Amino acid sequence: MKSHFIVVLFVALFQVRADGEGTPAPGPVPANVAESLRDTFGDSVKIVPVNIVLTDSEKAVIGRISTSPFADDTLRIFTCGSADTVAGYGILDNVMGKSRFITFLLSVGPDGAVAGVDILVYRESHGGEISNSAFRRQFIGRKAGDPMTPGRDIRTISGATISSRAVTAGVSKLLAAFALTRGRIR
Amino acid sequence: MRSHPAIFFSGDFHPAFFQPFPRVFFRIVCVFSMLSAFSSAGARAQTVEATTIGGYGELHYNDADGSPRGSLDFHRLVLYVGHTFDEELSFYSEIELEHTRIEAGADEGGEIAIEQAYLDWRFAGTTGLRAGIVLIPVGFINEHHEPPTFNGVERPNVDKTIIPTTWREAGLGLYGKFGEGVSFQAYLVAGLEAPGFSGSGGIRGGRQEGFRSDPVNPSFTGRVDWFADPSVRIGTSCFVGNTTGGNAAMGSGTLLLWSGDVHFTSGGLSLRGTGAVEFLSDASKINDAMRDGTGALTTMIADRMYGYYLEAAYDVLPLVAPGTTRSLSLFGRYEKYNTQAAVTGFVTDPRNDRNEITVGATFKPTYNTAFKLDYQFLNNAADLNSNMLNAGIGFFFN
Repeated sequence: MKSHFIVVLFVALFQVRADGEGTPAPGPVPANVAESLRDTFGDSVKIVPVNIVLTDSEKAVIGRISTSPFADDTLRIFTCGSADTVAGYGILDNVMGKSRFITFLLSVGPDGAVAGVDILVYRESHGGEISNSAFRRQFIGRKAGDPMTPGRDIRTISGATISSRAVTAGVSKLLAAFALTRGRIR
Repeated sequence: MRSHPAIFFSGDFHPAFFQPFPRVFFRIVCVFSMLSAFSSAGARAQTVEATTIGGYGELHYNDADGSPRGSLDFHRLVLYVGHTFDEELSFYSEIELEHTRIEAGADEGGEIAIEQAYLDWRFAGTTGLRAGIVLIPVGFINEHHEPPTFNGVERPNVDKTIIPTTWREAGLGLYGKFGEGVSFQAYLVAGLEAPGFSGSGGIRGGRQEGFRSDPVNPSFTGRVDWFADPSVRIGTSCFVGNTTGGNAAMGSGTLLLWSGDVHFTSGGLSLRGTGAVEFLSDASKINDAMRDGTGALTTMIADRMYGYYLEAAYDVLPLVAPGTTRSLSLFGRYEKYNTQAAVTGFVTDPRNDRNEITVGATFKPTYNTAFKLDYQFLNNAADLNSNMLNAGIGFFFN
């Protein structure tokens, strides 16, 4: 029996999974991205991935607006809607937690306001409570430039302060990037 | 004689009280692993490995009333080193230097210690297995002890004496969530050693800290947190295990520690409370077994110990500087703890029945840096009271 358990542990150790993180767009829409966007904008929306490559000057502006540097060159956007209307947009990004990346999806309505925030992959061993809807709901309705000071405008979670702040900074950064590049989304 | 660490995998545990438990726990871990093996099939791997570093530190100035002068001590400098192997597997560690240096032959000095060093295998969504030197998830400060995250230059004394932070042991276990808003941790770890207990220091001296740890007292520790709202966190935690290593003269020395903690924030207001109670069976046998050659007691270990504290803080800086991202919290904390709340075979020492009040301020230019100042009224039931002025800085980064 003992050897059986050890064999099972080894089998399980060699299984790995990574849903939706690091997928370059355009390309297939990751399943968890599609699921989140359809939860927000409706089951019938068509999701089209769009790559927006940021210029250095755009990244500098985003950094000033959000006080959070934009390390990546590419903004990974997913346009949601039908042939003639846009229901909203999704923006996929990573932010650094205490020691590992947190993959999250920001959903933005046509008015530029946050429609939802979803934590797609949380890799840290502590602080996963930022996935709770009570925390994520705080962002809904906020737009680029709105105050989002952690601990004041956004309540951080006790024991998950770093993750709470990281996601708050990430949302602020993506809203600024979206506002700046929206005209380039086709 | 020390047992080989492979005892964690053999199911051959001692003593009788805990024999069935580790096997059950180990099998639960294996079932989770098996479920993961099936659920993960067909998924793709992340191939990029990465190493991250960070750290925290704190400098203290302590000045007791009546002493000719205070002292400055860089109490801790801790280096985080983490590594991501793939999407699910990572390593995390904290290496600590206390009191700035260690020196061969010196009577006084600091220590270099590993506070954490574990492999973390997040095998099923939010559920994972952790193995190595792990923090005992009892109380709040033990797991979240970066200096800017708590008020006061020194950690609360309840979190030193009743919950002996930074408490870590070698072991393995599971963590995860029960639906939304409830998280858990459960570990099987090397236990405490009763010969290290004392009447004034409680269980603190019984920690093994992963240093050639003897697994003869396998112990369970667990924690459940409920996040009702981002403003409210309510946690309960426990540690239970035998402490005598099967020494028949000492009995089993089963320790049960039960703790609860609550955090509430609203606007600039922050409230914290932590309480813990410890029950130790066979304390009188342990004391008897440790009598000296003349038959005199050398330890006065209690059957029961407890402690709690309540703290209120308010960030006043926005009142005078609206829109600031900095904070200045004024706080007050009341602590009550007794390492000899109930004893057998001797008279308690009233100096171990303590109550303390700490008032002070924490200025945080950023969320991860702090300048601290406080004053403590340290009282005990023997009326041998003292006061202490403390100042310090603290920081963490990642």
